[in-house]
Amino acid sequence: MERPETKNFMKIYRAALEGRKIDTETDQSGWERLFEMASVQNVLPMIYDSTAEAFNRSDCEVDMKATIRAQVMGQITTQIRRTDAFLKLYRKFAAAGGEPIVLKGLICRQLYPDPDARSSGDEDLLVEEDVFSLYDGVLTTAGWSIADEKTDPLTDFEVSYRSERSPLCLEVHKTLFAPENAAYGDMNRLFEGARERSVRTKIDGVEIRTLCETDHVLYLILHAFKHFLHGGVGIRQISDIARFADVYRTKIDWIEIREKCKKVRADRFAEALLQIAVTHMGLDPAALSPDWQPQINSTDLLEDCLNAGVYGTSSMARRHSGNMTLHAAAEGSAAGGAKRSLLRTVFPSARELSGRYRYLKKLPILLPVAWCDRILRYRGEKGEVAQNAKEAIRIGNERIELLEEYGIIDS
Amino acid sequence: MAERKYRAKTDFILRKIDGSNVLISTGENLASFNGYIEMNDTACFIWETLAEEKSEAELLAIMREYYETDPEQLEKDVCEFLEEMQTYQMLEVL
Repeated sequence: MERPETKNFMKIYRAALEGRKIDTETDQSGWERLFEMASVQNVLPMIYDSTAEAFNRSDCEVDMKATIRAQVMGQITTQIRRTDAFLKLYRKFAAAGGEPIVLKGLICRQLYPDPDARSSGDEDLLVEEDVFSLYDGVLTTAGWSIADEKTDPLTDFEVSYRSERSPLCLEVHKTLFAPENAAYGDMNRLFEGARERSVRTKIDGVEIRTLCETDHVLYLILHAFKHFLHGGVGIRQISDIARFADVYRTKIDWIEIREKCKKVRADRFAEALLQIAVTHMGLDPAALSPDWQPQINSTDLLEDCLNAGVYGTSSMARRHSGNMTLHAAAEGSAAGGAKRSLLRTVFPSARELSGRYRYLKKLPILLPVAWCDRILRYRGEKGEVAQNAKEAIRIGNERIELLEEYGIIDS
Repeated sequence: MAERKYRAKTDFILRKIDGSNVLISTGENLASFNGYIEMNDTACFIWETLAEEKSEAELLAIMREYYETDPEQLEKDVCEFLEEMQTYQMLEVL
């Protein structure tokens, strides 16, 4: 069932998406709750922008008003710096003969009323694996370095770069999804030929290469799907899809998107995302093709989104519940139920753990060592161990029901 | 001796945020100034005027056309503002 808080939040978020100001009357704790939800979803500047007049008129404490405004200013100015840094880097790539495909972030931001208010934690690039060294060279020369020293740029599908002189984090991908992941690794095959279909666009005077409209919407949906399996989708991911659908309309091949989503059992999930976009974000159903008129129950998904945070990271218990849903999806069935998923969660395979424990790639025999370390880390987390474990299982079971509801796994 | 001229550095981006004119530092000056400045309309006007190099005298002449205020006070304010912008390394001095 939809909570009143959800309805209120989505009403305000829709106003933000439409560039409207909205009158909101609530007390200080109501404003605190609203801005807290907005922060968890990483949409504080957007929510603030649409409610600032009402908020500043309210009886909230002066300190609170100043604090929220400072947070918003900080986030927007940081985003402006990130965008500026990214465009400068892109020019350097072009000068070196490279043309990486820009994913999500910058491309999605341009579709919002105020692009700077739509925060991106990082910028993502898709590059061809055989020329990865060109981009690594440009970045290194420009003073950027690999963010995690444990990353192996030769074998890892995704390499993150940072610079001390910039708030930007750059994720350079060789494939769109981690190929070794049992739950979603094979989604890469749905994007064969994406570079040949890619398009150019101009942003702040810089010519950028990006996925074509259909591929981009499909990627946004499947990227959200991946995060749904991990722990949850954020509201911003759904509004990105809504904005794309609204702006590009007939340029999007919805039949192709549905067929590809069906191949990975993401079609009903996609319908639910679009239902949220139509019901709560003002997406005109006419923007979708006739056979994509979503009529699916999306209330549970929306509540899951608002509980999840940006990428399903709102709590440690939720993060751990992601292991259960990932395993359930990889197994393709809930046979054995939560107990089976829980055993896999506590004792995952060497392949599953090799991302965090790299020595397992060469020495899978050390798997029991990794298990012990992982259990000890979990016990060391803040909060009561037993309570976190129970909560993780509860959330995991609820989310497995969602996987069943949307046909991702069989009941 | 040629009069000094001033020009706004291109390492700063000017934006309107929450009704305020905000200058955001980017590029190399991040190391020395990792923040932003909110400017009133007059300061914003000066900043935009200095997109092209101007001497202090040229800047004052332009300001007098737009602002009906005591000339001595105007000169004092502009001079102080130029000094402050130099402190934050926001200007090229030519």
